[in-house]
Amino acid sequence: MARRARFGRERIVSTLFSRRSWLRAAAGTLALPWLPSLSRGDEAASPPLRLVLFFHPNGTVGENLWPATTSETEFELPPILTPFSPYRDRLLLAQGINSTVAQDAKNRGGPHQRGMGGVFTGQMLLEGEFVDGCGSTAGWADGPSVDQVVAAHIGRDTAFSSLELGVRATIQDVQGRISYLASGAPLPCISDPVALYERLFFRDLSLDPSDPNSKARAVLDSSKDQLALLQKRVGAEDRLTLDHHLSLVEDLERRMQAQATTCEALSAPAQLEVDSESTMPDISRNHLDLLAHGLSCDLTRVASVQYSTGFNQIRFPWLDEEGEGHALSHAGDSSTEAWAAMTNRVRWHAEEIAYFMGKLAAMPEGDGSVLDNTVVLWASEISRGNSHSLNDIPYVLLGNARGAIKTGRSLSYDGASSCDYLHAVLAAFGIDVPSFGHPDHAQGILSGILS
Amino acid sequence: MQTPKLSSLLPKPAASRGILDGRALTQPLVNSTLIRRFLRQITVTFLTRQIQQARSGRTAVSPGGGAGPRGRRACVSPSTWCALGGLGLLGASLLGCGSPEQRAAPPADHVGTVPAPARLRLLTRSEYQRTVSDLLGSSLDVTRDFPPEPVVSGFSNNAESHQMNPLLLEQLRGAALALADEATQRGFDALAPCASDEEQASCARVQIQAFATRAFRRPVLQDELDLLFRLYDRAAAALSPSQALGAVIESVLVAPQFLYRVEAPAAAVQDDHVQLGPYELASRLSYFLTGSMPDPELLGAADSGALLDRVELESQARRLLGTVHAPSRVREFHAQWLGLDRLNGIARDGAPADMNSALLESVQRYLDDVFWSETSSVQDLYAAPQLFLNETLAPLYAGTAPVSGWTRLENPEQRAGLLLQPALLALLAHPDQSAPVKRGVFVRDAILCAPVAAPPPTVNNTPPDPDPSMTTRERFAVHTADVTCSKCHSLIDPMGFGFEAYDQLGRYRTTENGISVDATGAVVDLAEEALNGPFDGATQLALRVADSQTALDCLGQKWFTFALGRSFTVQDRPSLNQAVDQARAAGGSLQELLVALTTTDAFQWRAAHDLDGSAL
Repeated sequence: MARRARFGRERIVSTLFSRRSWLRAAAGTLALPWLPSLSRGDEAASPPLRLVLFFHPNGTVGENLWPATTSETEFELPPILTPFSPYRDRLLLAQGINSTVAQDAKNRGGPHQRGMGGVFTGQMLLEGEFVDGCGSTAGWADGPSVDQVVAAHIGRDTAFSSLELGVRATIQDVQGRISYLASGAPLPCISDPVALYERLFFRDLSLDPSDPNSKARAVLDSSKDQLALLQKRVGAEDRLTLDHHLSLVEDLERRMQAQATTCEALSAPAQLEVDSESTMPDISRNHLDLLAHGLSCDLTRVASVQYSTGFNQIRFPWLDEEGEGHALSHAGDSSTEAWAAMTNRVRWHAEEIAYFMGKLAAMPEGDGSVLDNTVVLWASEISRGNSHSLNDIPYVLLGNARGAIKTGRSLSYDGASSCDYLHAVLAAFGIDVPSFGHPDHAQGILSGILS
Repeated sequence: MQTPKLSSLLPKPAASRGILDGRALTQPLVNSTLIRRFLRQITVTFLTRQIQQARSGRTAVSPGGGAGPRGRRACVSPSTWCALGGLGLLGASLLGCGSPEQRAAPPADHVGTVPAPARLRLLTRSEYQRTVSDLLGSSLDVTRDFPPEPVVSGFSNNAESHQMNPLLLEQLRGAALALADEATQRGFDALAPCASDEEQASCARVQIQAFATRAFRRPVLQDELDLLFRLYDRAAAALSPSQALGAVIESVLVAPQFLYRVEAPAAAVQDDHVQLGPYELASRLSYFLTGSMPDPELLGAADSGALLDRVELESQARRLLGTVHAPSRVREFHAQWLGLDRLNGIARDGAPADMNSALLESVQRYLDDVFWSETSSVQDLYAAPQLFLNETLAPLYAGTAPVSGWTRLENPEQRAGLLLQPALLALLAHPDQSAPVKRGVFVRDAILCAPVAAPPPTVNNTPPDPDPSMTTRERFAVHTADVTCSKCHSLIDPMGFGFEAYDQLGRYRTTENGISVDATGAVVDLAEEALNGPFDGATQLALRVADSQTALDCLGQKWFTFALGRSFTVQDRPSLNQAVDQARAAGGSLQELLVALTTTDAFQWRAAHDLDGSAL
């Protein structure tokens, strides 16, 4: 394989902000936990809250996900959720959340497209040229996703606004993106844990606020000035493009100026083939290890982990011999073998999430653990593969947001809008917005979620 | 760059000059505007260079593709050049380096394409990699972790959807750092060597201008240059001169004028279309055919304005097809058109280890062989019976004694052209069986540009459970039996069934699950009547496609999409027809198709719009 160019720490840049290395020498621990003294001053000395989205494609097996219960608090964990047994009290299930926006007649595209675009944005799709498997066309989603809204509020000064990780997320159109910075501005994910590793620990992030003439600052200023020059010379639509570019540069600059975080590097993960069906479990674990570490030292407070994409065609050879995922999800209702295999596959994702939560639980923070300050939200773009149903979207929430969410319950709704459910998640992070998602489908914070 | 010979810059005789030839016959033969323009440019260029050479005592211009001769004075800025040409707006005019009156009005009998508006085009990963390799002579692999571009209609160079994002911005910054560092360590002589008596500061300015001109793919504007000089001064206060130059290089590599291909609006044009300026044309040409920045010869043709001449442009296109990057660019097109990168992730029952990469190389070698051959014809593309096999693939598809290295197999059994290449058949399959629907959809969409329309929305389309005792064809019969499914599947399945003699690895078979394979199929409902009708076996289908008009037209649409970074639309039909006719007249030549595309209105013209975005 070609030698990867390493940027950042190994570069000899004489005016590099040197305080960072001082902090590194002083730290001495493998992962510097969040300390009150490193607070960015935007919150009282309590640890930051985090949000991590998890995604798996092609729906779930409802009968093995939703507890059969009439009691909110007394229920057995169905097969898909048993990996969360240690975390029962953090669990919130809500059956009956529908992606009404994806089912709106005014929306465009096929079900996988609408589902993917809407699962975390609550938005319809723009016009566009992405063609799905049946010939429907659509563009990107028309608004930001919940993780990006949270990042804009609680992650303004972390090294990374958010991290988007992918495990075999190889489709590069609306069926392959779940996180959106804004309307029509999806965020690509990092597929290779080695690339994630390099990004977390080898990025040259320093911009010493006390050195106005550092090379990094001079180059940044120059690039902003060049953008401003070019903007005067292009048409209106292109000016928007350059505006978007400029705002990203300004965001990067602000993060570079924020107080340096010391995060000691883990050992590098092995280089694996990222699009192979046999490496998926290892890729997943490598990603999750790095993400847990990154959250614990506050490199970011928001992340998403995307397992494959809507309409994926991947197999799970370490679990079963049942063929590729999309076809499997289209098995007839009477195919018990197919649905058992599907249940196993969905459950595998739950195991990965539980593994991740275990890593966070083992990291002390404040008077608890990093897990106590993390909210996990897991979903799929549809609820059932063979009908492409967009009702009963399998949102699974884990984490009470320091008491803001009333967890340890299994709720049942009668066709509530996913926009309002996601709005409740935002409220749990103390984010006060009038609505979330498409206005035709947003009635306000869904009752029953928050404490 | 050689000292330009005066004679080569004089307007060519009217008979051979594209702008005054057939298409503009209704205009006066002696177009005073055009002559004036040429004379202006010649005079300015010639005199400026004479002056500078006299001052520097040199007769040769610096090597390395720099923008112009060095002199003790700063190079005459392009703004001065064009001001001498009597131009209006500095910026907009410069980017095309032609004043409104200097751009040709569309010829009165031009082919009727409605050119689309141009827009900023962000360099793709592969374009960035080739560009920095050419610009800096670097062999660093800097784009490895760049995020993949969105894919539209199979192509990943779609201008509208490829936008900046935080991850890409970071990656670009990291790449700029690494490349600038490498250049600093290597020294800057390649950019523009300084005279031994040249003082550092002015030499640096010359080097910066030379580098930025090449990087921006056009003469740098004075205010852009001032920013770079200011950066240099600021950096040189704290760093060594060499490191300060490195900072400027870094800044150029993240500048929007480098990262985006800019086609600026033209102010106050006479018509609602405007021809692209010479530098814009140069970039379109080079990125289309080589996936990299214009080389010195192409830039020279832009500098002199010669590129605005149809004959010159066509000759540059042919020349570019023979340059070092063209083969990899053509491979890139084929990979995107046919979705070949998905071969990386497939898993197929019975596949040997290393099959994926071998299949990819096998079909790419086939495509290379057809494209770069003397005849290079669309007929060969779909009918040539050839396979390229190595040790991994030979046992699967040739059944002969093991080969060593890549071997070309002539007239293999049961093969004809692209559609029967094992790589495609294996790609268009399921892990454990063939996939008639995928194959049918592929032929209709990618090969014949007749995709099936979207199905009407249905709430419940639960399929019945599959029966493992049937063949694929039997199992799929439900598609055409059920009225909801049959609307589309009656167009797709019959074509796909014709490939049933090829399994999930693309191997030829005569039985499936013990039952005789039925490889009869039918082409249904295509516009070209000669294509429709039943056939027996995919070879018959391949030959029918090879002889069709539709195949070349569709391939033209695909190349068009790749060339322009946007989907082909009905407005582009006149241009496409022109290009396809030209290719057909050359025996269906694929190379000729590419050259012909560059001479079309769609390629050379764009809709005019004002700075505020309003169409004119």
